[in-house]
Amino acid sequence: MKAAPALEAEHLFLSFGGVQAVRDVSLTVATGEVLAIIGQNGAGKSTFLNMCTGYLRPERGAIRIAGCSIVGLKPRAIARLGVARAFQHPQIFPQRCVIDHLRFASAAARPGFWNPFRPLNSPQSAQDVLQLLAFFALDKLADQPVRGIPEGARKLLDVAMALALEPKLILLDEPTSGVSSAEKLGLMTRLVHALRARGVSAIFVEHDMDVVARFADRVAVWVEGAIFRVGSPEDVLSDPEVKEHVL
Amino acid sequence: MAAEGSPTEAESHHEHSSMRNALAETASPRQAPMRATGKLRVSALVTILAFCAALPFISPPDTFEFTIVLAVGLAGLGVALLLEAGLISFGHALFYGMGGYTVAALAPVFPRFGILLLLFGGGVGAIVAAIAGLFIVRYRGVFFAMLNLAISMVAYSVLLKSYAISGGSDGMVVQVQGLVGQALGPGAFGRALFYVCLGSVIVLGVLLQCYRRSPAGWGLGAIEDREIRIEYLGVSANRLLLQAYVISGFLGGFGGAVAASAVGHVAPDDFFWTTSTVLVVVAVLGGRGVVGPFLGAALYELLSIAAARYLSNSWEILLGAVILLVIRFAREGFAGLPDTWRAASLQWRRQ
Ligand SMILES: Nc1ncnc2c1ncn2[C@@H]1O[C@H](COP(=O)(O)OP(=O)(O)O)[C@@H](O)[C@H]1O
Ligand SMILES: [Mg+2]
Repeated sequence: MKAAPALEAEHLFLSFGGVQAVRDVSLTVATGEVLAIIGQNGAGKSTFLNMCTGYLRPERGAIRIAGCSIVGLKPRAIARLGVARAFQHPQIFPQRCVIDHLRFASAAARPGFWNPFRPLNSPQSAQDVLQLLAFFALDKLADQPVRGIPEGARKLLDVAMALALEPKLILLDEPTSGVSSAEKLGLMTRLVHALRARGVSAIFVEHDMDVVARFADRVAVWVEGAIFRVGSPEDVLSDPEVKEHVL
Repeated sequence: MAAEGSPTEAESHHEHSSMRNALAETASPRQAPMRATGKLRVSALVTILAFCAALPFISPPDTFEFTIVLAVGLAGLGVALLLEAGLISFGHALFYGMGGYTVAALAPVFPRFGILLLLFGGGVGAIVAAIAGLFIVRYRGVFFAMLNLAISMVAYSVLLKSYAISGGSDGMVVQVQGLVGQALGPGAFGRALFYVCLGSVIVLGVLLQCYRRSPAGWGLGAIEDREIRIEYLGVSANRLLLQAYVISGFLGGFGGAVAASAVGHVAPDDFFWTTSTVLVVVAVLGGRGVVGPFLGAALYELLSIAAARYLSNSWEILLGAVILLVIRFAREGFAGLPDTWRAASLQWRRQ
């Protein structure tokens, strides 16, 4: 008996008022696999992630997560299946401080969330929260409200919140855009290492081909709403047609 | 697998302990003033509470007014709680009225157990909130405000029409004679009610503070910021709101029950939209947090007494002027004045 893949998308279609944003997209992510998505702006990468997380509903096609069909489910229900997501534009709470974001995400993943007598700053999650802060080098900003922190740190906080949920599948939309190129490789090294150590399956959208080549098991190339190529980084990135379309 | 796992653990453990050291270094100087203001706050609170406890001795004839301030403050606290999610309710008179009518209906059964009646009043407020909330918490902004208003006005007209049960526009007499089993004379009852109410305010305030510091209480405030992110963390924003709505219904019902016990009479006006407006004014005047609405209620009561004495026909002018002043100079309400002043003086010095 073979376990169902982490994600299966079959023949997805979606258009926005006449613009075909997604055209017959089919993609499978195996359990534990790290898949990169590349493609120009407007190719439909974020739209694909939006469909996989229930924010948008495909007009046609099927999406299964660990064998469970998720078309029509709300983002919350999909999150409960173990799917976490970080956004291209960080979705964080501007008035709140950095560390509380992680405390909240960590509490959301545990039983006892609704207990009004259990403080947000609970000892059970304190260790994990500190580890995440250190992991993303956010410890110096821990007590600052997020509206004042740099864009790169906001992105990392968004990713850290996704990771705090301890997901089975994580979808990262340009996780390191806005992070300085000096920090990028080190950060991705640790992030991918942590994902692999936990057996988390991952999709990440990325524009930096060095990052893709180093960290992805497979690469999917998006061109105008459709998948143009899927394969190993060596094959795909050296393909002259891919170079022409994407680079 | 194991070979791969162990270096990670070692690495993260190392990171973690160095992280803790780093935090310890930065935390101590930063937290010291925080702890000092925390202590200042606690001692300010204790002083205020001691002053409140002394009020019936300082001015015995006003004990009734003091009790009403606490009752309205409790109900206003319910409105203020929802304000934290960025939502304003123009229908909290529903819970306030329900609490009062519950006491009126049950007083003949437990005439000397006022404490029980107050709890029933709060409980009925919570139950009504849980039922109405199932529907209301799906809405935001103007729709939320108006739906609250609509439901409270429906309750108001049903009450007016059902004369046999509610006494129609005459209302009902509330005959509570004691609080814990003993019948009391009017003066002693008024004083006892005040202290029971003050004790309830303290207990409910502490409980509410626990809730506000819990993940769900934090999430309530995050609804205003970015609801979709909450959903993406697997948490239902509507359920967060429902929990707060039920708590706020309890506070409204409890406040209404106290007021009904003190006044000795309930009337459909308790359900009328003007009562809801008073609660909103109290919440806005006082500001967010647990103490604010009580300051707001005290200010409101003072204003109405002053107006009755000096400005008999233009009470609205006075109230309007004060609301304008608060919105212009004390955005965070009265409880937020120290913070507002500090921010303003900082800005002043920079300029
Ligand atoms: N909510 C939306 N309404 C209308 N058009 C949209 C919406 N979201 C995306 N699009 C369009 O769909 C296409 C794909 O967008 P997107 O998925 O954001 O691309 P990418 O993430 O690859 O840059 C673009 O042409 C974009 O303008
Ligand atoms: Mg995008």
